[in-house]
Amino acid sequence: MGYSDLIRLGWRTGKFLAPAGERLTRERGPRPDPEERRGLIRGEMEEIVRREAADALGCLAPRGEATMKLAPFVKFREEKFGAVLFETRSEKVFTLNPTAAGVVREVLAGASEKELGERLLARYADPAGKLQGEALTLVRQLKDKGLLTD
Amino acid sequence: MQTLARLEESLERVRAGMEARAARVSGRVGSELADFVSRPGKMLRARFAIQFGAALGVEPSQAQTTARAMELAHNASLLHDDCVDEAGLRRGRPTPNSVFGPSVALLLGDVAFTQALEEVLDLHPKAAERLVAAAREMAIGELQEEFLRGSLEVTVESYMGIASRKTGALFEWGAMTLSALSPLEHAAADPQKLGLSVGILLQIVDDIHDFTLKDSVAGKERAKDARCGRVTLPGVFALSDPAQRPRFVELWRSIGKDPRAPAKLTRFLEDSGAMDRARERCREVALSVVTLARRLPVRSEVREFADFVSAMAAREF
Repeated sequence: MGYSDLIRLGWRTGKFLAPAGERLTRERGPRPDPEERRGLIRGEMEEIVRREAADALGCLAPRGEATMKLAPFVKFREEKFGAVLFETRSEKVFTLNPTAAGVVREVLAGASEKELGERLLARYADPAGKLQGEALTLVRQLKDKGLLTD
Repeated sequence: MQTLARLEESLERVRAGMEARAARVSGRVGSELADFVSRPGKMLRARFAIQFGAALGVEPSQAQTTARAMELAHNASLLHDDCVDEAGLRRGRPTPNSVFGPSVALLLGDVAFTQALEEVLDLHPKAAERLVAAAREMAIGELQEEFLRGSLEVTVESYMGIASRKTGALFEWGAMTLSALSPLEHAAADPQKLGLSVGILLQIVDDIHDFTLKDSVAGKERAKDARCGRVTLPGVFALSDPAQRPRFVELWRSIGKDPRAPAKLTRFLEDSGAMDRARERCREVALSVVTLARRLPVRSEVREFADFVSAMAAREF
């Protein structure tokens, strides 16, 4: 009897004991190929480091003249759905859609409020012509919540 | 000159403190092994802590303690890194993993890190807790890099992100600790970003040197990163250029098969301009640090600190 069989039996009977006379044997599943496993993790890691690339964005701002930055104890992480801002002291998580994530990325890369609209328009389509205004509103909201500082 | 003499005096105190730490464990593990725990290298972290601390008006003894902790934590990470990379040489001498095996080197790394923690227990209430967090980030950065071995999907931003964790986190810790110890107003200098940037700067320089410095100068094998399957900043720039990418990939994959491949790859990175782009990025980060440094409160020390940062960016050792 293998360990998985014992667990299933335990779930059914409530007794996690091998029946009398049965011995637990090593299970013989297919052995994972280490190279294949490493390749899978590598793919996952490529995605993770892309998401965590924002950690150094502020350091790429030219000549340290970035006018805004994340408040201390606030972490920015890109996710498949956009991004999150994590306030580590209160453990509050703020979810951002892809455009809002783009706004924070540009801010971390050193964009001032004045430059923000131009930088976003170079990256995103803006058929409704609202992008600039909405980006500044978001920046104001983030400042009001203490997530972004000058 | 007077400032430099003071710096050397402080560094001497840091070295003496590290030797005292070695002496304390030598009775338990023997002097030969204890020597690895606190063996000094270029002491760039110690220099950073002392000069940054001076520009913040921090008590010299507190800056020296921060410096010792940074050097010990750095030693711990090197002892572990050399096991990961199976490196045979460090600072021009055989690594403990090559002499005694990886188990001994890993344990020596653990001893070095606990020594770093002991250093800071009484320094500041948050110092030890933050050092643990920095060590976590360093280890995560190393793990990320380990699992990206062989990957050609590395961007400039992701490279910088990893550098900010594996090297930047310890400088960030040093900067934040000294910031907390400073009696003067200095928020405009953004110590967190400044520390992180200095770490990234150091990493970029190291990655360029991995190709350009001779073994005898670097104290370790040439093109070690490429041999380990890691793409560093010069390579990232070559990969990001469609015209250079195929040749880079071809050369990079020949490492391990062709003994002349590291030299060919280095020549290619130089000729294609990828190495110069990495050097340019280095200058940009250094300039960013110097701009922040000019906002530090002790004006008489700022110039020395800025010179130190510029020298680190331009160093050939």
